[in-house]
Amino acid sequence: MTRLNRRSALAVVASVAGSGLLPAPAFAQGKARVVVVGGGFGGASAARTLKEIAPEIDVTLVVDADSFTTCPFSNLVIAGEIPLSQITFGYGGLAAAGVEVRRGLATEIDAARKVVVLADGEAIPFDRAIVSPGIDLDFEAIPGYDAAASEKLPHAWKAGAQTILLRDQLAAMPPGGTFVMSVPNNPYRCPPGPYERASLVAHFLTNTNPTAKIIIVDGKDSFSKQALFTEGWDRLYPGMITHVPFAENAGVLEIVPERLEVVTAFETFAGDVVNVIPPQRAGAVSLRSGLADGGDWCPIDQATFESPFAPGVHVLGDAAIVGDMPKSGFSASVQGAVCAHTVVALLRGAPAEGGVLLNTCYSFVAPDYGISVAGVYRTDPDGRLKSIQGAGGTSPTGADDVVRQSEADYARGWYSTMTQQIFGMGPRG
Amino acid sequence: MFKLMAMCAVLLTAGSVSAQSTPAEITFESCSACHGAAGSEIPAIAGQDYERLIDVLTAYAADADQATIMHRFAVAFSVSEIEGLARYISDLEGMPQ
Repeated sequence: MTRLNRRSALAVVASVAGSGLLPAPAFAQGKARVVVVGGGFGGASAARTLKEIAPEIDVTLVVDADSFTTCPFSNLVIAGEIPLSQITFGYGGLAAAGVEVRRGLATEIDAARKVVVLADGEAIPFDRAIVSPGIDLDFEAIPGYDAAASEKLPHAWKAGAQTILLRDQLAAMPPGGTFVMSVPNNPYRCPPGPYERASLVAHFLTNTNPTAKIIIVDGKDSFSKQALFTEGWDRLYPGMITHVPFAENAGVLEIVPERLEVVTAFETFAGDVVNVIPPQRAGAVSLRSGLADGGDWCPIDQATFESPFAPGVHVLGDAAIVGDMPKSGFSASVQGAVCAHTVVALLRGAPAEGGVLLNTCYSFVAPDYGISVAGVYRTDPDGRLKSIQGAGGTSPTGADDVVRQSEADYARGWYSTMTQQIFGMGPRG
Repeated sequence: MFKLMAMCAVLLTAGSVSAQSTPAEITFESCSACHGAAGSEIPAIAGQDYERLIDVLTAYAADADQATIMHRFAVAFSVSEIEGLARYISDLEGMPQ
């Protein structure tokens, strides 16, 4: 007997289901359709994987722009190491893989009617939806810091024009000037990202403006990979970076854009360049559709990514509460791929298998100095996606230059492979 | 009638094997984020020899050398999970170089 391929297996399941022996899968009523909302790592990975493992499914990817600029590696752009074009990807590869790419703004996921509604009025029907809208910046969280203020004091926490704005402000900073960062409490997108940014800004300033200072006003007392970052800062940028933990500032009360000030309960920090990374919440379409149940982030069934508030709607990436996994591009891309397997199984009327999920966050302390934190995640008997104790963790402290150089190389290897697999034009392996 | 039922049972079994992904296939989605393509410092692994994959993963699990993240991952996997992953990866077609 020859081995069944996926297409013939599908026909078998559909015919058996038609005889009443299985719960009717979506295919029994015709071609199944999955609508994916969000063209970042999570959504694009889900769409690409769906088309790869189940080519017979119609997959529509709703994107709100013609291209996606990644937050990973955007700190290298701010430091002038690479151009923005190197971290910007179009959707031609997804289209070539058979994904219908629909440019539009999704305004509502209607689980009852099983449609995704776009701002232009179109309602796209789905059998299952995958929603990965990423984050929105909370411009109501800090008095004085709204969208208009972000044009003067960039957040640069969604990559693109904001990245360029901060890069250019940094390059034009006066000699001996002060670069102030305001960093939120957890949870937020990319936990080590602010500290990588401080590192690469310090790298840039060491070469161009060596008497300049960096002050990090933090909304928490400790941070991701802290021992590794501070070891690198002491070694590469001695005296340049000051980290002010929450205990020493008691929280940001206000931003004063006209004076470039970050006002905390204890002290006011004035900068020549001020980078405000505000608190965040799940992308607007998910909140508007009730997927966060009135909160800021979307709870899900952590084994299937399905929303408890919207049957048939799966939520993942930064917008969702995915157990112990961090809000990272790596996590979102893995979740997108794993969710695609789950959705295909459910559409075929088969039980969804589980696997192990991994995450790695590489950070650059300098362009040739990489560090990492890794995690391994399994669903426990209570259905919670838990970090495995004894696995994962960070790079060692006290390692030599060879180790740091190799992790910088691995970071670039991860980035090029992952973006090529999700957005690339070539065949996936 | 019995014959029809038996045939359905066979089809059901055969269908269910391929209609859902295996745990190894799902786990490999995490591996392929780094190992899915050739051309970087990180080796592409699709189509590598089954025994060699088991040897390498087992060595990573045992060796606390932290020069790469692989020990931090491999230590979380059981012997049967390593075998399942190695079988799945070795059955893949090799990546274009």
